[in-house]
Order: sequence, then C-alpha cells, then structure tokens
Amino acid sequence: MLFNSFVFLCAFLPVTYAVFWLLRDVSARYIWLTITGYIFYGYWNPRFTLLMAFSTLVSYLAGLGFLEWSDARRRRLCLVVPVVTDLCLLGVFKYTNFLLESTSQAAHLLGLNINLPRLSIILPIGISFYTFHTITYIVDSYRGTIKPTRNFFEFSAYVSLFSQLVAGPIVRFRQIESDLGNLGETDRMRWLWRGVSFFIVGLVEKVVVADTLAALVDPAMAHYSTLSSLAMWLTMAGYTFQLYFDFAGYSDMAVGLGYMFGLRIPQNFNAPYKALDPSDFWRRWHISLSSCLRDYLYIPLGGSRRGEWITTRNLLVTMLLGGLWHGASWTFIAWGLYHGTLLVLYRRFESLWSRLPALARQSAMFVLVLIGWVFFRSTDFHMAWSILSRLFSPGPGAELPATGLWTLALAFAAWWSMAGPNAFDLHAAEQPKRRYAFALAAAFGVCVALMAGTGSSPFLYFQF
Amino acid sequence: MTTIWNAILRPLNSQVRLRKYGRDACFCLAVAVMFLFAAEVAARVEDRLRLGVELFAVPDHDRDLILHDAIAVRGRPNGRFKKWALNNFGFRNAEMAKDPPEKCVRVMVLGASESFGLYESQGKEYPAQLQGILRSGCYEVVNAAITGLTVRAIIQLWNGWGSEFAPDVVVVYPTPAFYLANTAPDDPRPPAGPVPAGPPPWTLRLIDRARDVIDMPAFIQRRRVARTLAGKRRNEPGWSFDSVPEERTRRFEEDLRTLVHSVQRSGARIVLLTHATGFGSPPKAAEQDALTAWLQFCPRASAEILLQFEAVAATSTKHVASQETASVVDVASKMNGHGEWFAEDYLHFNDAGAGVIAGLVADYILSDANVTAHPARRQHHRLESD
Repeated sequence: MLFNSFVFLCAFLPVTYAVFWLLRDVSARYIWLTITGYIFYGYWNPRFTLLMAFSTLVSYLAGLGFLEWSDARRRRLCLVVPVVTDLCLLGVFKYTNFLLESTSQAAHLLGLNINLPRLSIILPIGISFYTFHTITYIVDSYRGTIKPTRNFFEFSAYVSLFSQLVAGPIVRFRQIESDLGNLGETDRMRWLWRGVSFFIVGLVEKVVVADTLAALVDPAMAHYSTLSSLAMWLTMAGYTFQLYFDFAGYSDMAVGLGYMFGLRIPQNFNAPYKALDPSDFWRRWHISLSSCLRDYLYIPLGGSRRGEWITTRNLLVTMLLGGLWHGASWTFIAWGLYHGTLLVLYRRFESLWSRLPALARQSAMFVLVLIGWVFFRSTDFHMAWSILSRLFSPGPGAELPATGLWTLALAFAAWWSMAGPNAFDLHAAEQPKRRYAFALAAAFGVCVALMAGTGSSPFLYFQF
Repeated sequence: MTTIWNAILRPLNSQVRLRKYGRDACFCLAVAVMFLFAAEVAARVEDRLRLGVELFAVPDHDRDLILHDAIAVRGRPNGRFKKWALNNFGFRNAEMAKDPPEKCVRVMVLGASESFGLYESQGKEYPAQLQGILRSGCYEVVNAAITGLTVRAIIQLWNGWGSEFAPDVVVVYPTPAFYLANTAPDDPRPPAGPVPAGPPPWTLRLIDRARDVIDMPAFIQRRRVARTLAGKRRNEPGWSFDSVPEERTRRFEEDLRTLVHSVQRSGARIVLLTHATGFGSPPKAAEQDALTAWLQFCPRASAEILLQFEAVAATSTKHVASQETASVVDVASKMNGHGEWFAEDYLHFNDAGAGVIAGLVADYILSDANVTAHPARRQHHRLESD
C-alpha cells in the first residue's frame, strides 16, 4: 500500500486512526498498530508477512534472553542467533541471485564454463528496513543501551509500524521507546496539526515535485544513449532532485503519520543538497541509515581512532556495505565506493576544501553527488559509462522535449532543495497559525487532483 | 450570590459557545472550499500541461473524439480526450501525410474499441505496438479504429474515408457481440436534426477524475448491473435468444464479406482477425461478474449464447476469409481464455495482451511475401482521387 494512494488516504488511514484513538488501553493500541502494520504490508503480498512475523519473534525472544541471562556466553548467543537469522533472510531474498550471477561471471573471466541458474526469488518490499530495525534492537539490547521490552505487542508494534515499515526511516527502538511507553496516555490533539502538516508537506514533495520530475526524467532515461550532453546533464539533475524529493517526501509523510499516532519519528533528511562537503552530505542524507552505519559498522571497525590507513579502510568498507545495502548490484557497490572515496579524499584535503567560498563548495558537492547518482540509476556499468561519457564529452544528440516545463520543474526543485526550507524548518513553530490550514488544504487539494489524474506511483526506495 | 451569577452567565456562556462553534464551522467550510478550489485548478493546469486540454474546456469523449458526418463515423481530426489523442486525419497514431510514404507499406487497422485502445497505457494499444514491432522495416501503421464501430460502420468508414489513404494492408478486428444487440446493426446515419450548439454543461474536472479513480465495491457494481439488465430485458415470448440466432450470424458474415470485397476492390490486402475474449470455457467463477456486465450490451442473449456466438463468429470469420481469398489470423485460438492478457472486462486488451495480438499480426505481415508497397496501385488511386 502506498501513502499516496486513495485506498490509504480514504480507507486505511481514517480507520486506523479512528480505532487507535478509540482504544484506551496501551496494549490494545500496540495490538492495533501491529494488526494494521501487517495489513499494510500484506496488502502487497500477504505471504511475506510470515517472514516479518518470524523475524519479529526471533528478535523478541532474543530480547527476553537478554533480560533473563547475564552470563556473557548466553548473551552472545542472543546476539548472534537473531542477527545471523536476519542477515540470512536478507541474504537469501536480496543477494542470492547477485551471488549466483557474480560467480558465473567470475567463472567466465577465469575461462570456466559455469552457468549458475537464476532463482525465481521475489524481493520482499522493505526487507532491508525491518531487518535493520530488529538488528539495531538486538545490538542495542546486547550493549545495554536499551532495556528490551517484555511486551511482545510493544515490540511487534515497533517493527511493523506502518509509517516506517517499508521505506524507513530506520527508527531505532531507543528513539521511540519513551513514546511507545506513553502511548496509553498520549493526548490525541497534541501533535495532530503537526502530523497532518508533515504528511501534506511530504505528499507535496512526492506527488507534485518528484512525480512531475519522474514524468520528465523517465522518458529521457529510456533513450539515454541518444541524448546530447546538455540533455544528459538536465536529465541527471532531474533525477538527482527526483530521488531526493521522492525519498524525503516518504520520510516526511512517515514523520507526520508518527505524530498523528503520538510517536516522534526522527528526521531522516536535513536538506542534503545544502551540504558543503561529503561528510556534511552524509550527516544530512538518509540520516537514519548513515547513523546506523556509523554506530553499528564504522565505529566497531575502529572508526577514525587507529590511524589514517585503518580509517581509510573503515570508510571504504562502511560505504561499500552501505551501497550493497541499497541493492544487489555492482553499480550500487560502485556508488558506495565512490562516496567512500569522496570521504577519504575530503579527510585528506579538508583544509584546502574549506578555503573555497561556501557557494562553490555547495555547487561542487552537488555535482559530485549527481555523478554518484549515475551509478545509482544505472542498471549496469555499460549504462553508467555511457551516461558519464555523455556528461563529460560535449556532443550533439537528442534534446529534451517540453523544455519550458523542464526548466520550471528543475528551477523549483533546485530552489526548494538547495536554498528553501525543508519540512522540519517549516515546522519550527510548536503550533502553526490558523491561516496555515488554508495553505495545507490547497496543497492537499493539488496532490489529490494529481494523484487522481496520473495515478499513484511507487516510491523509488521501495526497491531497497 | 454564586447561583445568581451562574444564572446570569449560563445563557451568556452558551451564546459564546455557539458563536465559537459557528466560527469553527465557517472555518472548516472555508478550508474545504479552498481544498476543492485548489484541486480543481490543479486538475485543469495538469490537463493543460500534460494533455493540452484548454483550461476552460469541458472535455467529452464522444464530442471530442468522434465525428459523425455524411461520410462516416470516424475519428475527429486533432481530437483529444484524456489519454487519447488523434492526428490531423482523426487516426490514433502520429501525424502523417495523406499519401503513403514511398516504398513503405501502409497498414490500416480497422475495428472498434479493442483496436482503438481503451485500457492500455498510452502507446501500448495494439496498433501502436504493431508499429513498434515493424519499426525495423519500412511500415506505417494507421489506427483508424473508433469505439463502438460495427462491421457495417467499418464498411462505411472504409468506403468514405479509410480507402482515401491507400493502405497496402487492411487489418480488421471485428466485434461480433454488436450483432446480438436488440436490433441488428444497420448503416450508421448522421444525427437527424440540429446538433446542439455550444459546449456541454460545465462540470468539475475533479469529479471526472474521481470517477476514474473510485472503484465501487463489487457488490454495488453487481447490483447496478442487475438493475440495468432487469430494465432492459423484456418478458415478451420469443424476445430472448434461446440459441445462437442464425439470422444474426448470417448478417455478420454478409457484412464481413461486403467489407472484404470493398477492401479488395481497392487493391489492398485484407487481413481478418478472429475475435478473442479472456473468458474460459466454461467461464470461471471469477469471470462471472464481467460476463454479466457484458450482457448489458446484448440483453436478449444469455451468457452461454453470447460465448457460443463468439465461437460461431470466429468460424464465420475464417469461413469468409477462405471463401474470399482473404488472409486470416486466428487470434481467438491463441488468446481465448487467457484472462491475464485482458483488462477486467475480459474483452479489451491490457498492455500484455495488446502486445500478443500485435505480435500475431506482425508475424503474418512479415511472413507474407505479398505484403509490399504497390506504387502502381497508388498511382492509380491518386489519379482516381484527382
């Protein structure tokens, strides 16, 4: 089910919301959130709810183990078993075919005639997100950062919370632990306005900006090999903005939905195209993932405390795995390595970089990120190379149709993402003014009209 | 003292409360109006940008896409309605010249809504997919189909308009079910009396969009269909078809034969396609609703008669083709019962189904050595036109 679909807006959300607030007991609310999470997820493919239930149960039992046992051996068992189970689930469903294909390709390179068949495996939507939810819960419990819950439905409500189930943000248990605990006493009206407002801003980002850009970018990308250099730059710029507004839109909607149900979901995007350097970019882009990679991978590897070479290795390994998390493809690995390299180079030349004017740093950073998205968007290296060669070797080719609309859409997206306020800036005030309701109503009206016209398009990050 | 104060303040409080409720209600109403206004404006602006529909136009399917004049029922030149856009000659394909391109084969597709394209994504209707498959050679596919065309109407369209474009190949996908309507199809006549002047009554574009999006629950749709059918059916003896009506079958066959003769007279090759549906034989339980909905257009028939007539019509199509040395592509034998290739009504194609039928037609065109451009015939046609 998509947030930007009528079945969600007209049926699922009103019913879920009404029943949730009619229930008074905290356990009943946990159960209701669990049920609705499974309905939300099962709407796509009911079979895969079993997978999520299994992952939830294993992690919950491990949490109970941490509460019961204090000896190191058993605690380590409680850490290893569920984490390995989650990683196996992820591996089987997401990376099996990638491994088989890569093995076949490697064998061909070595002159061996091995053709491993591709298995018919469907990638369950959002598996990368909910397995990360459970893994962070287990690791935090092991480290003693959180106290695991004894209430099964509290935990299952956390894992299957529909607002962040399929495309994040990757909310850690500790981030919403207190809100989950207070769910029985939460005042419905306290954050309602804020929730509705966040949701509508996210919907505008997705339906108005990202989908408009998609309508321009997708047809152009279908003929990427024939585009002129200028057209390629415009197309990649369009994709750069589309990806941001698509994902940030989803995250803002998730934050809004969280508020409506009394849960404060943390910020996932902080105007990443305002970043002045690679390090700044990763503090602003997909914050929940980059902070997870930092806390559960980069720092355990040694972080930046063990000398320059180890730091370089740690950065590259972290970003490589971050790339692989996004998708089982060598282009995602290349994308991760590219960003890892940017981070390494930035560490080396930070003092030089800092001397540049802020506008130059922001523009240069934007171009560097755009180049990275070439690998992200490409299905293989041939496509990536073709796009890169078109970007950097000016030449004739097909121009883009509807140039006026392109210019307008790009200019608006550029202003909003590089200079304008993000969703959290817009909600700096605790209580918005009453006339703000008119702006929200108008924005919602525009979104509804566009959704009814062009249909609901899925979010780009669902594939991960 | 307190009691006195309360007695004085109570009506005052209730008045204040009433005023507050009133203010809140006005506020909510104003917000709702703002929502509707913004949605309507956005719908119009998007239609303008995406489809080229004028901001203050009142779109109407029949008026914007169909032209019914003394020549025939045909596509309105430069007609536009939602995703459907017609070219300068009223055909659903790219802009074209009247004369076929030199040394290229012009293929004209004739038929009703299945060929015109209804539920497919833009550019996925079968003639468009056929053009895509034939792109490697020099072929031009002209989609002259229009919704609701019976074989009689196709004959009129061909004689009055289609033949002007001198196609080398004419592909016809006839819809037999029209022959089970209350009365057998006749030659369409231009509307009698004056055509209502001015645009149709003004409507909200938003409501139109809502209609496209909102899918009524199955039980409501079932009730609606049942009511419509009950309203159309008569209890007169002999009114309902007890078996496949021979007279209607004969009529279908005769009309098809006339069409074949007309096309062959122009020197073009005609390819008849047998009509396919996604209904299984016998229809599955899941298909019953769609089958009943189809009956609304032929209330004199039962579901069994309707499907039997489809089979008889397919045989008739093949029979006519063999007798008149026309070509035939048996779409029915390939696609019948494959619900996955059809839209929810099991009659119109979805993107995949349109691809299948396009592939079948393309296979025929590419394999038939006789399908070539005929400059001499075109020259003759040009002279005749002059």
